[in-house]
Amino acid sequence: MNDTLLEIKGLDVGYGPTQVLRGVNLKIGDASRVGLFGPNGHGKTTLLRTISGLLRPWAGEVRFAGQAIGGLSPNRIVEMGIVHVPQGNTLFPRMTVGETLLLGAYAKRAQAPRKQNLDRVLTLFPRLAERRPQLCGTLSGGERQMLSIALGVLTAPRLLILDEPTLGLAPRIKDELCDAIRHLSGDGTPLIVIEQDVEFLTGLADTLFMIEHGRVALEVLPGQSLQHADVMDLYFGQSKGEGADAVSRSS
Amino acid sequence: MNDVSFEVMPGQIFGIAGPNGSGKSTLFNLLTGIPFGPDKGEVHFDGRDVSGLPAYKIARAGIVRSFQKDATFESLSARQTVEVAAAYGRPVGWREAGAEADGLLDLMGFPARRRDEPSGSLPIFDKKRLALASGLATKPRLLLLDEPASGLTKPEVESLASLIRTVRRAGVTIMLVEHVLPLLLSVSDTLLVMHHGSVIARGLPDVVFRDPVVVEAYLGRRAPAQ
Repeated sequence: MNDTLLEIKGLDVGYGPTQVLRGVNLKIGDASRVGLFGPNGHGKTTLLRTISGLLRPWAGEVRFAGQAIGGLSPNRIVEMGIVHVPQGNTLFPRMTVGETLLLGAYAKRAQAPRKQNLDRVLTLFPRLAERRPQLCGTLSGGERQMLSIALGVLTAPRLLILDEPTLGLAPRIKDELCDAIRHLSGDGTPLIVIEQDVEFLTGLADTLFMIEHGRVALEVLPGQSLQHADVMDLYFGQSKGEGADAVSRSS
Repeated sequence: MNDVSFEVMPGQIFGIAGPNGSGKSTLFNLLTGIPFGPDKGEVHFDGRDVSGLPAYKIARAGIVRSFQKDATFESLSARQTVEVAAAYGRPVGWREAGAEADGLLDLMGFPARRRDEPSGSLPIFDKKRLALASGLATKPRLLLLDEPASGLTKPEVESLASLIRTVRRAGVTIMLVEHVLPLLLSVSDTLLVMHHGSVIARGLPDVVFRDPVVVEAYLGRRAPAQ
């Protein structure tokens, strides 16, 4: 059992008058690969945005490496080592790949290991080395995702958060990214990944949380298995069938 | 795009797959004139050459498309969005457009309680329903759908498949660009695979997805078992 890196207790968060997360509790170890899945609009991205300081908790606690971080500014949270690669294309289209890679190591904590991390991402994504002079706006979907993840790695994360990294990607590129992400976590970087493709997620994560109606509805811990039938049952809101003992449903 | 030729038959659901950057969305751009038509070659629709026509004339001829990104008017309500589409280029009053909008939103299973909410704040699957209803409101004969399943959960993809079949039953031919393989396999009558701007395979989906060239270029480990 590894040490706790991130602990969330009784977290409530929302937008304006609308509450999205309701009493979320979860614990992530310092060697974990965590997958988040669940219906759209039920709070997965909201949870990640709260961890990285883009949203303030209404109630509850977020602790990272033993320190309370709920309500801290995103830049302070980045400096502590939580790096969030958001969903969609957030690159500057008129900047080159080379310029963008330099930007990734902007945080103070990232400057000392910059050379080492640059070598790491270029080994992981050799295509980015070939594309250095190219404008980001002209990259393919797969290359854009590689560059976004590379930016995350260049920020020297103690916890890397990826929100739907394979959205809109072709199957083969998706698998290449899955290998690369697995490789990253094999190097000792803990991960939280949101994905709709549960098959992708089960190939990558050792711990899974299903977020439904703003709560952790299901936890699959290392060593437990998650059958596709379970997920389909849960998504459709039906009772669970076979494999009911393989996972624990939280109340 | 390099010397691409194919035919789509009336009533078909014509799937298109291929790696990112292989030319699938460009193909839709060329067919719809958004933002421009082909440099060389012809697009015939219902026997008429529409290549190089401005986008609005192509839309009025009956070729209508959706986009990968949301292309709705964020501050208009869902109902107003479909009304705009229903009234586009046709002499209909707002009352008639409103009735058409409600009928189409019903057909696409759009929840009644959300019809007056701004389109920009809708849940993702309602946005997909709205895009289909808006497309149908322009009375297309050929509807081009660009990655409609992107970002959807597995059950939502299954519901989308059923909506796409409903659109076909309404008499609309469909071309579908998609990476979500269960959707492509479940709805497509014919599948065309592109790579580097060229067609590398075309035929029945099951057969195409076993083609070694398609496995190498596109599917990798996701190839169906032999």
